Amino acid sequence: MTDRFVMLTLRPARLVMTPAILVASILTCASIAAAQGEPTSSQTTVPQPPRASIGIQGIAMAGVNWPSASKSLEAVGMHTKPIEFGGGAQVTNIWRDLFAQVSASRFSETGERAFVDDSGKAFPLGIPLTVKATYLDVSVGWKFASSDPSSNVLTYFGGGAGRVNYTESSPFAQSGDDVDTSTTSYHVLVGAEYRLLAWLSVSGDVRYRWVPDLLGNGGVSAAYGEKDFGGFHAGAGLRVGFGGHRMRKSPPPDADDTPSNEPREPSRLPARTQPSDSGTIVGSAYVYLRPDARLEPLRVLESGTSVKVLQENGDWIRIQFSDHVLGPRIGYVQRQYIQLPKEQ
Amino acid sequence: MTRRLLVVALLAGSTGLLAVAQQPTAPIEAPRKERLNETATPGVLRPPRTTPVELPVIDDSVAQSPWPQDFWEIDAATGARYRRGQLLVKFKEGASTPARAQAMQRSGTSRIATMPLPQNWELVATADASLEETSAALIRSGSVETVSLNYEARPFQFRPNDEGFRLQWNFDAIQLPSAWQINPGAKNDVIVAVVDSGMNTTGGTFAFRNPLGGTVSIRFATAVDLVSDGRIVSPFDFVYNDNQPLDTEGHGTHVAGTIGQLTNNNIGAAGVAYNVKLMPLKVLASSWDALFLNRPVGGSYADIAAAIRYAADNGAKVLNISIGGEGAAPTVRDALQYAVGKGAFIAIAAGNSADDGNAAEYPAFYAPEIAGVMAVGAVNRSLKRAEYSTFHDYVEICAPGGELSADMDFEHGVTQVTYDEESTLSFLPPGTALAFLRAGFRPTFDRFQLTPYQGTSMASPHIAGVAALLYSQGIQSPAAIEQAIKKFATSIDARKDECGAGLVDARRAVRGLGVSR
Repeated sequence: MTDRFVMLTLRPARLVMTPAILVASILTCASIAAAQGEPTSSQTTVPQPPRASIGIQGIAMAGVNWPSASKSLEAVGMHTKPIEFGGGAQVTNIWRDLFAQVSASRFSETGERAFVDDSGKAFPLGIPLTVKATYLDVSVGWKFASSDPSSNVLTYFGGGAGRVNYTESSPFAQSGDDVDTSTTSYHVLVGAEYRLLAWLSVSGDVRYRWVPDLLGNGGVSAAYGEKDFGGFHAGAGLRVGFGGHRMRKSPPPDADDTPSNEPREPSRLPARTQPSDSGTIVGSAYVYLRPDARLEPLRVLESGTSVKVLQENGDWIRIQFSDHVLGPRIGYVQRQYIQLPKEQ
Repeated sequence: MTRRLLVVALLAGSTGLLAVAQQPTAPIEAPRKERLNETATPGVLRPPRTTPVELPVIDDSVAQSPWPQDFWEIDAATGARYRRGQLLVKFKEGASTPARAQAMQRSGTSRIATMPLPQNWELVATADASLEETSAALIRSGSVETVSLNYEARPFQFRPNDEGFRLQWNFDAIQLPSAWQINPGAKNDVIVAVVDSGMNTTGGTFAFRNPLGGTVSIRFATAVDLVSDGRIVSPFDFVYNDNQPLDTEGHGTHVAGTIGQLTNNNIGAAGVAYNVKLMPLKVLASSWDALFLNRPVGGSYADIAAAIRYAADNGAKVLNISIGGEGAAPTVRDALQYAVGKGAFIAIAAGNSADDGNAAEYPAFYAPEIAGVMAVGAVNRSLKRAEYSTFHDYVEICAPGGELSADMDFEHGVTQVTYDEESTLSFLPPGTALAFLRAGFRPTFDRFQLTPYQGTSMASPHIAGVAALLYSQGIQSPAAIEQAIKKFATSIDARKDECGAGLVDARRAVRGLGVSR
């Protein structure tokens, strides 16, 4: 693990560029993800299933850092995996599954000043040295619901930028000896959230943070050529709030009447010919486990797909369809998305 | 003054000596010197001598406090010093200007103009009455809330109380008082070997061969402010081949003092690494030794090489070699490599030949090729290369060596405790010394005084002392010590061949590095 960080730090030019590119990529991906679920004009003619409203969560976090400047921290006798504590707030469902988060975290480590010789060997000098870092991160990202409607798990990814305040202090310091500086950071993150109660979740995420050029101009970090104060962070959080725990997918846009050879959403099933008691799917239709549009859909059936009609129940039709993964399967579609045999 | 260009100069004129030293030597006659008196006479530290050897009187402006003697009073309760005739007075909130004036008038005080003080405080001058009476009168006025003495404030820095410390500008020049805050004088498990003219580890009367026939009794005293219980480790005299390296010149005592003079004990001067153990190794013969042993003044590379090896074998982790010569010294080079291989750092004086041909000096010449050995040049009080300091590519660092404008020039020399030369006359050439001996003069080596010297010999022990600080702090690789001294050196107005990496900065060296600064 450590070697990997070192490898990263040996490529400062790439590191400097990478954060901006990655953050931009994340935002682009988020837009694409949003666009895939965006309703078309045809959907205005059909009822929309309910969507979760904007939610707000407060977050308390603790985690472990794997700083990319691990050699420098090791040289001054500090933990190379410092513990970080923090908190923040997240606004969910800003637009579909987009969320924004502001968080602050901090770690403090005490070691001792050192000298590093030309071979890289560190000689601790017995003078206490305290390093404190405070991170303020602003993130945006996208959340993904599980395909299993009974699941309470959401996954998410995102990225953003922030500020890092970095201080370094020792006894016997004279004017200008200690360090107190702030600089810009960039990060990407990926994580998962598990809902315990309607208002309570736990989450875990991994983020990589870039803090370019905070180090490397002096001290042991210069001796090791470590310029970046970022690195990996793995943390766990407790989230308290309302709304936004689970995203409800909108009905899909009307599908093309002509079957496409291009693969669409993985869960969409191609149209198949069925017996005469079968109905025909009109437009793209969600299949639910129970007659409740608030649930997570099981599958999306393409327009023209023939299904076996088992039962009519008001606005819902119980059908049997052929799942390309699980074989014959039973579910419910909304009445307006199926043409019944008697109507054909 | 010239005689204080030290032993490098002694050796510089001793090409013949080196040739003699390389010839087969006769078996050593024992005893070369014999103790007559077992009583270890304590050395006497005398005030700086003025006459009769026509040494200039100390410049009082340097030797004395810059303040008048009655500037401070001592607070009997705390021992702290406060400004005589001054009080800090806090008037009550709302006390009018007339009320304040009346209170001061009745108490016999007057306001001293200062930059504005906070929250109704004023600094006042008192008349003849005692401060207690004045304070009481001020309080009685009803306008004064409280009164305080104007105590002395000092920099938060260790300033030793040794009487000679005020003359040691050389220590301030390398930020040593600040370094002492971090590392107060190294630990006592570091052994520093001083390869030089010796140091009196003991006292008493010793009998030497009298070149005029019979023996001559010479009195010695234990080096003042250098020797304490358990401090001296494996001393050896390579001139007399015994373990009593009596200094009959004073150079070794001065050098050893800069490295490890006992400090903050109200005596003598201060030393860079004042807690270390010392290993005095005598390899240089003075004029008196030359007479007693019928040999030339100075030393030989064979003795220096043997002393270096001896030091390394007996646990020395820092060596100072404030001696050298103009002849190539491969034997000494091998000894240096041997000692570094045993984990010892070595500081060597670069030489004093700059204004005398600027010849390369050995063994300093070998320093760049051995990581862990440093050749040390000298700067004067203006932190420029001293005129005598040899400049060559082999010079790796500089330290204060002083530059005397006159004898006993405390202002510009490196001051340490060594012999009162009046009692030793060790600066005399052997022929003259013999005449003095014939006339009944007997040198004594028991009177010490603060004496300013100049030379790269004086610069080198600064580096040895800083190396001892670093070693005791945990940098126990000679090469790393050298790198640290170079890395944290201060850039000064000197060419690279004059001062190498610059002027040693003890504070920065012992403070080391943080993560980012």
